[in-house]
Amino acid sequence: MTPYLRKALAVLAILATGVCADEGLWSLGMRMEGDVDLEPGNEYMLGPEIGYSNFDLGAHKLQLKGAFLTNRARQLLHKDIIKQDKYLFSPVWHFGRNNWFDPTVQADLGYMHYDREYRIFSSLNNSSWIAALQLGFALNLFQGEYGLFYHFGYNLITPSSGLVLPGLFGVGLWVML
Amino acid sequence: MTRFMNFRAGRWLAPSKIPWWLISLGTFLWAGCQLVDVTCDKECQDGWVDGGNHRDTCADDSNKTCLVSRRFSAPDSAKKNTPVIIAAHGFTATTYEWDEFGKFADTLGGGGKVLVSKVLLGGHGRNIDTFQNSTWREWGKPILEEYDSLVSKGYTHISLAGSSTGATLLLQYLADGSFNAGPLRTKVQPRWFFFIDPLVVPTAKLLSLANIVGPLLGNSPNPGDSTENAHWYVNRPEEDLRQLYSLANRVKYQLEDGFNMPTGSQAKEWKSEHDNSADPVSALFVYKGLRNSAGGHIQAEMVDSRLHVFTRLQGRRSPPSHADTLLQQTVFGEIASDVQFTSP
Repeated sequence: MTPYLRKALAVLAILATGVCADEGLWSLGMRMEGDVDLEPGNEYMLGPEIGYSNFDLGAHKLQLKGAFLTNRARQLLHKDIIKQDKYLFSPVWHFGRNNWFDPTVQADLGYMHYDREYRIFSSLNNSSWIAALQLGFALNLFQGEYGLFYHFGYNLITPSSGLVLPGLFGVGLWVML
Repeated sequence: MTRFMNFRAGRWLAPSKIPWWLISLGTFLWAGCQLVDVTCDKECQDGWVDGGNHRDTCADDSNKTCLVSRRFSAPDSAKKNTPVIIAAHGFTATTYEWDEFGKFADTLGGGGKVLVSKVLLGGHGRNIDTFQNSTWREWGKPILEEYDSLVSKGYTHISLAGSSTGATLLLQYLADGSFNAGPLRTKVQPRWFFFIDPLVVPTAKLLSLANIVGPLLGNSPNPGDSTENAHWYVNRPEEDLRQLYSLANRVKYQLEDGFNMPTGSQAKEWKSEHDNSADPVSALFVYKGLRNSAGGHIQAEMVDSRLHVFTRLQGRRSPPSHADTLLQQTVFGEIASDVQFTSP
């Protein structure tokens, strides 16, 4: 586990312990994020995410999510991809948590890096911080036991040497624990 | 009467209640207006390549010095076996980008050891209207035309070099198997491919939004000094930026699948570590995705330079350092040596 993932999980844990544990709603899901450029063959990153909300956090309107996304599964289809990982902490504000249709605003804060693999490329700057703002919605199904979400937005940090593009979107699903 | 929904109040609004900024934006978009239009004033007409009065010298079909296929009408057998390097320049540039290498080859060993064929890409070096209406497929066409012309004239020892987008076009041709197609290209296969600062991932990541905001922005001018303006388009219409991103993106995803060079071909890439046009990670994409016919890696070198297309030093705004000159001459020497002395 990298130091950055440890930090992200620690922040999530501290926030979670600051509220009453018996009020908490935990969720587990899968998230896929991709680039928005209206060209074929987008980069997709896939991974698990956990979510937590509490009545004391805006009556469950604020949900805190942590996700690990990677494109390593794409190697199955595209053998020469550059392998990338993202560690994200995503606070999400739900405008209609109790409704079937639930508009959301979300921030993605985190860190990404890619594998350089060869010594020749050791001079490449292969990491970047991530800060993105996204709008979207969630669909609360079966009284919120399961759900789907979609969001799209803008990466505020797009380093000149790196693989972070400004336009991004995400889709996913979750189940309440 | 047309009415609009007021989402907050949940009521329909009469047109008079629609915010002024929404009306302005709608009118602007409806009229097809763009924030920055492609313009060419008197200075542009007189001194820039955009204007058309200052075309690249190689845009003239009667010019016999640029293309080797036109330089020698009836090459003898010695000439036919001399290594020829087809050199392709980058986006918005002209053959000026490879002038120094042409001069280097002309003086090498008394001259005539290596021939450089400077190809002017389609849509480039003529005027801004031609550029605006061109596609990346048209940009690359003259490269293959010159290759075919050389083979049909009997040249047997042909290599290709590309800088920036010129390298991207060569990669695209390798990916789609252009050098394995047709009687001429299967008869004589390229010996070497040289890539100088290949553009696979642009440094300016906003280019990835060219399809979305491009039609609104219209044009992204990039003025230089008088020398640069005479050899590079200043205006960069959104149509061309979209073409550029589309090409780079296409090559990137083909590199992710991997592809091989023709049998007997070899390749070498050089990439500036600090490049304001082509993200240095482009070199990693090329190294991973492009293999020789046996599946082995190509040769790659990251070079300590802050210049995009570090092999072009003339016409730079700031004079090149000693290290820049040394690097340029070293790479020119390596290319010339490879094509002369390395057999496939």
